[in-house]
Parts: sequence; C-alpha cells; structure tokens
Amino acid sequence: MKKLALLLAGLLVIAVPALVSAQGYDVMPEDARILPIGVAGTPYADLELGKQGGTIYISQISNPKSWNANTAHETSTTWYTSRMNLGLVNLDHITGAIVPDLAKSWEVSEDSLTLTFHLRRGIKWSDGTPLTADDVLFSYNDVVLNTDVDCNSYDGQRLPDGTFPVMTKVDDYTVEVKLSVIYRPILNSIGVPIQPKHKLADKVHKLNPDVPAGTFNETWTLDTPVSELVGNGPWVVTDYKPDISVTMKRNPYYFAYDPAGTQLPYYDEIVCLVVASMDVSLLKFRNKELDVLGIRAEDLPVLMPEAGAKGYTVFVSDLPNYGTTWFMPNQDIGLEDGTQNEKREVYRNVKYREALAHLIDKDTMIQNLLNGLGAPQWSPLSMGSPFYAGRDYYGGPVTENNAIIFEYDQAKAAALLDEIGVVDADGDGWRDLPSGAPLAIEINTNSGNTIREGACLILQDDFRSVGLNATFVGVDFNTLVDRLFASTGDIIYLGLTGGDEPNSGKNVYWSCGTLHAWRYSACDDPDEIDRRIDELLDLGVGTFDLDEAFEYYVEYQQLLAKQLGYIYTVNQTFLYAYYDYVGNADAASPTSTPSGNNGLLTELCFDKRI
Amino acid sequence: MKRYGLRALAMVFSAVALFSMLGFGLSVSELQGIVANELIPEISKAAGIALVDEYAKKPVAELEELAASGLTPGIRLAASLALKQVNGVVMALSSKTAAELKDLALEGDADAADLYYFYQRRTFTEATLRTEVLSAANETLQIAAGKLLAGYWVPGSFNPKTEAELIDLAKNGEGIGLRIAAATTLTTLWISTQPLTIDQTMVEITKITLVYPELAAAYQNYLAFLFAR
Repeated sequence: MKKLALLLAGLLVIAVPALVSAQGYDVMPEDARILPIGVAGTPYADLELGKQGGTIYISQISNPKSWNANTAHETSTTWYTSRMNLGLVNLDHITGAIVPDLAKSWEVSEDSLTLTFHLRRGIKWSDGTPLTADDVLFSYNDVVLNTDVDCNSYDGQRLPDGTFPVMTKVDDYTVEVKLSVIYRPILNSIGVPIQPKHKLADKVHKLNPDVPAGTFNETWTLDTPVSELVGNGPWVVTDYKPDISVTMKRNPYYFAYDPAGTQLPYYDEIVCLVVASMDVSLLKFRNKELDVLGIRAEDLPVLMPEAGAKGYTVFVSDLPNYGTTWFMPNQDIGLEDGTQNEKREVYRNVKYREALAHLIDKDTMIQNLLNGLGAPQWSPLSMGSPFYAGRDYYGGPVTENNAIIFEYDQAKAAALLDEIGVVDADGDGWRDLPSGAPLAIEINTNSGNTIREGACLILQDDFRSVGLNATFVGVDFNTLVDRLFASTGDIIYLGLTGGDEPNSGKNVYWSCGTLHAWRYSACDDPDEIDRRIDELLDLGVGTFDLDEAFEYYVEYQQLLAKQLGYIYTVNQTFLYAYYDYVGNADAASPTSTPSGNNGLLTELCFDKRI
Repeated sequence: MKRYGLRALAMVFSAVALFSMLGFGLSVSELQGIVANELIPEISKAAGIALVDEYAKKPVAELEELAASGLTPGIRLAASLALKQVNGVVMALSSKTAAELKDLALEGDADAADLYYFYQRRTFTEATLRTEVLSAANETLQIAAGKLLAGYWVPGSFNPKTEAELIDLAKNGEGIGLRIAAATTLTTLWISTQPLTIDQTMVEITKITLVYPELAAAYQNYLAFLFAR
C-alpha cells in the first residue's frame, strides 16, 4: 500500500529537468577550495587526479522525503541535501577533521567566545546568484534558530547554559558568532546547511508575514519541480522518479577544484537507483548496474569469487564502522511500580555488571556472527573518532593503551557473582538473588536482526554456563524501544549510531540524557561517577584546546567503561565493493563512505575509462 | 587409452600451433575465430564467455537461434549467456520467494538455484555449506551451493585454500558440488595471481578435458578472463 501511495505521489511530480545554469565560472574564483589530490605529504597523497565526465550509479533503499536540507530528519533525504547545501565548515573526506567549506577560514577570539567566519569571495549558487553572508544569516537565524521551522539542527545549537549562539553580519563576506559560554563543538554544530535566501526567504513567516507560520516546513518538498532547487554544493538534484531513481548533476558553480585546476566533482552525474532491499542492491552490483556498494560480511562469499573476472574490488578494512553495540541491564527495573527491588539492587551493583562483562565472548561473536570481520568495543566513542581513548593523543594512532577491558573469563565472572551473594541457594543449578529468591533474566533484542539475535544467543549460553538463568526472547523493534524508554526491559541488546564528536553522545551519557536508558533515575539521583561524567562533558566542550579536551574525554570514556551502564560488545568492520574503473574509490573508509554524508563520491571519484 | 592419448596429443599440437602467437587479450575477430573453429569444448566456451558482450548486441531472435543450434559449444554458450543478460533473467527471478526458487532449481534452473543460495547465504556457515553441497536435493542445487562455498575458500576470504588442495578437490572431491566449489575457487585464485599465459592454459585444458571436467571448467573460466583482458 505504501509503495502504491508513493507511486501515486510520484505520478503527481512534474519531472522538469532542472534549470541548472550551464555556464559556470569564467575563471576559478579567487577563494576556490583546492583539494590536494595527489599532493605528496598530504592525506590526499594517494589519490589520483581525474578528468570530468561520466555517470556513477549507486543505490539507496528508500526514497527521499523532501529536498529541504534544514527540515530533513532522515538520511534518505540528507544523502541528497547534504550534497546540495554545504555549511560554513565540513568534515574532511579523508581525515574526518573539521575543515573550512563555504567559509574559507575562521578565527576564535582570545576568550573563546567569538568566532569570526570569512566566506569565500566570488562563489555563486547553482543558478549563478552570488553567495554572501546574507544567505548564511538567513539560514542560521531565520531558519535553523526559528522555532517556526521544524529544524533538525535546532537542539544541537543550544549552549550548555541553555542559550543559543548569536550570529551577526560584519560585511558581505564575514559573519560573527558570539557565545555566552565557551563551547568547543560549536565548530561541528555551526556547519548547518546554508540555503539560498533569494529562493526561500519568502517562505519564512518571520520574513514574509503573508505566508502562514510553518510554511517553510512544506517548502522544497517532493512536489516541488526540481528546476526550483538551487544549491551551493557539488551536486544539484535534476531529476526524480519515485521508487526508481534520483539524478544529481554537477553544480557548474561549485567552488572546489583539484591542483590541476579541474573543477570538482569529477563525475558529471550521480544516478541513485531506489531499490527494495540491500539484496537487490547486491544483485544490481553484480549485474554491473551499480558502480559502488557498501556491503556486509554475509555478502563476501557471493562477491569474492567473481571479483577478478568482473573487474571489481571487495574492500575489507580493519576499521570498524561508526556506532556502538551493547547490552544493558536495566538498573531501574521495577522502580516505577515498586517491584523487583532486590533484583534492581543486584543490577545496580557494579560487581554484578562486571561479572556480565566477563561473560561476553567477543571473539566468538566476531567469528560466528561477523565472519571474523569485526572489532571488539569497550568505549562509547567510535574507533574512528580522533577523541577515541584507544589513542594516546588527539588524532593519534590507535594503541589501546588507555583501554578498559573486561576479558572473557567465566571463572572470574563466577567469582564475582559468588562475592555479591548471587549463588545457587536451593541447588537447582541456577543462581539466586542474595535472599534466595529466584533470579530469572530475560535478554531482548529486535527479532529479524540476525546478528543481534545471534549475539543474544551467545550471551544466553555464556550466562547459563555460570549458572545464570537467562533466556533470550526476540521482540519486535517498537516493543524493544518501548521497553528501553519505559525502563520495563530486563537486559536489552541494541546499538546506537556514532560520530567523531563526543558531545554528540550527550543525550546518552549525561545523567539526564534522553537515552540514559540504563538508569533514568540518575537524573534525580546521580552517584559520584555520574556527577564526574557530567562534569567531564562540560569540561570537554569548554576548551578549544583539543589536547586538553582529549584528556577529559579519555577519563570520560574510561569511567563509562568501568561504570558498565551500556556494556559494549562488537562492531562490524567497514566493507565496501567498487568496480575498478571508479578512480579513488580505494580511498573509502568509515570516514568517507560512499553512502555517508561526507562521502568520497561527493567530489573525488572519477571514471577511469574516460 | 592409447588411442585416447594420441588424440589428446594431436589436440595439444593443434592448439599450440594455432595459438602460440597469441599474447595477452584477444581481439573480437580473433575470439570469433576460436569460437567458430576450436575443437576442444572448454577453449571454445572460454572464447564464448569472452564474447558475451559482443553477442549481446545481436537481435534476440538470432541469439535464440544460436543458443539452440549454434555450431560449437562456444557459440551456444555465448548466445545463451548474452540472452540471459539481455533478458535480465536474474533480476526477473529476484522477486521470487525462496520456495519458488527452490522449486525451479529442482527442475534444473541453474539461475534459480544460484539465487536461492544467494538469498539463503546468511543462514549458512562454511561448515553447513560443506554438508549442503553433498546433500542438496539435486545436482543443480549442489552446484549452486558449491559456488557459494567457493566464497569461503578464495584468497582473502574466510578460509582460503591452497592451489594444491583445490586441484585435488576439483579432481577428486566427493560430489559435483564440492568439485565445483574447488573449481570456482581455482579460477578466482588464478585470476588474482595469473600464473599461466593463454597458451599454457590451453595446454592444461587439453591434458584434462575429457578426464576432469570441473577442473577443465576452472581453466576454461580463467582462460575466458585472459581472452577478455
């Protein structure tokens, strides 16, 4: 029914080719961004210079929901909008570090409370209109910070004291951002998509009282002719066929070039096929209908035998994907209705959680569930982050010298359980609560996720091996989420997305965070570790000195690892397949995946056949 | 046996005489010559595989005719593979359920069998596939299971095997599925290491063409890669 609805909706869309100006710059803008492709001594040294031309085919398993970068809430939309609308800053394709984008540079005042951004001069929107500070102020003040607009970035702008940054215009190419408190992640959060004032200001009630409040939320929807879309990024959407494809063409006024003076992106066009599932994507890739594809461990036996004959490469890295996978004993179990008091006490005993941590057979999980293509996790931060505490310094190589590891050790687990009085009191083979009352444990995850189901079965077996009466029960995803938020679950196995910025996890690890699901009661009743973690979150954002921030975050990650609120398990490593004629595809990594918003494909890949 | 040996020897000489001048990769016209004239089936088929994209330009009616009654195994194979490509056979099957695919596979549909195991791949480990290749309901399914098993043995995969192990399995493995698994892996191994030239590969084929068909097919598919480079 949904497909039919989408198809019917699609029939109403007028597929007018975008009136992207074909002219482009007469000469390279004075402030063009030059990506050091192939330049020795830079992170881009191993990349090749390419030529313009060709079409690259990729896939998505969902249709976009709109073309509006600042009202989008889902990656199926932001995949496109992030390529049409860039921000003042962005993440580097190769290193993941914050780099200038629409801004060519910025300064931070001595008191760290004022940031001054200098825009690139001479750059234009895809329709040839000059891009100036007015567009930046419009996007930030009149869209992102406008409470009439359902903007995904709004909450991320809030400063620790509850106020918001104040952005003002200095001149046509300079904007100033004033903070009430020092807030290091401002450089992440300020990079919101900049949208064209000349096309959209009349849709904002604040600027045009003739339109009702909330009009902007219905702007640049899928019903909008794509010819209306104007961008500042490397691509502009030029065609959309619901359930079939989205086409993006090179923005002739994109401001990035390679060292040889070739304007980026190299490809003329991206065609994104909308497919029903990952399996269909894989079939299309094998059939040469797609050029690149993010893959899973289960896909390797199918892909690897054909790789040489068909001319593609299966890339198996040793870098894990971003994100965390964990299980969580519910430390608020029964709190709401005043039941299970003793079980709750046991779950709140860190030695009990340490025992469980010693029962995670990560090697077996990696071998059996991920075909060996995985990495153990111990930290709330993804390994790719420069703040990951497995490094010795900010951005340094991963050594794991700071890691807090609970090794797989059933004897140790048993000893800890004995120590806290969780023993088999009645001789039935199962450990009981210290009072002698039975202890039954239910492990839940979302049914249908075969990797998580497999992990829960492994945990069940290991728990049982030391006498814990554990049973895995798969539940549907919505039920699982309900149990998580309502604190009605027992042990929940789940995962979270991740990024480079530790403060992005504040909603999880702050004692009052909306996803502090292992113990929501910590908001009113934080213990010493909770308080220190909260403190470290504030300290980490309160300095622009990255080395200083790194030290705070090392302690933060170590405390969380010892606190064992979420108990981390394993994560799949980054896997990718690409046809060998796609130049620079071999530079893909979790930082610059083809399907990520900071994707390599945005600018740097090219067709070697041209 | 003696007569067999002389015939094989004659084939070796003819193959070497015809193709000893050839280096890496062949032109379309050279491949057309092989596919039309070559006596050894695997060499003919190798040329056919290398010509699939060329054949895909022909009208469907002509392809159907050639697939059914082309004069050589290579021509028939080129035409049938081109037809599959043109008709989008695999994608057309992709919407079928596992049960439907299995039913088709039980009737001998090799593409359905491949797709069946493609969709079932996450339910298998290497160990359970080893059992499957021997116990699947018919040869079509066993062969398809074998191709999936090859994915665990190829270089860089989960349990890569040596060339010697694979050659032995391709010759002597119990059941056609296991032999196909080994042969598929060998082709992949050779493509990645390219130990043999076109001439050398054809000599190997002529030694075993009527004796070890799965191993010969491994060389055939490697030869197709060399032809197309």
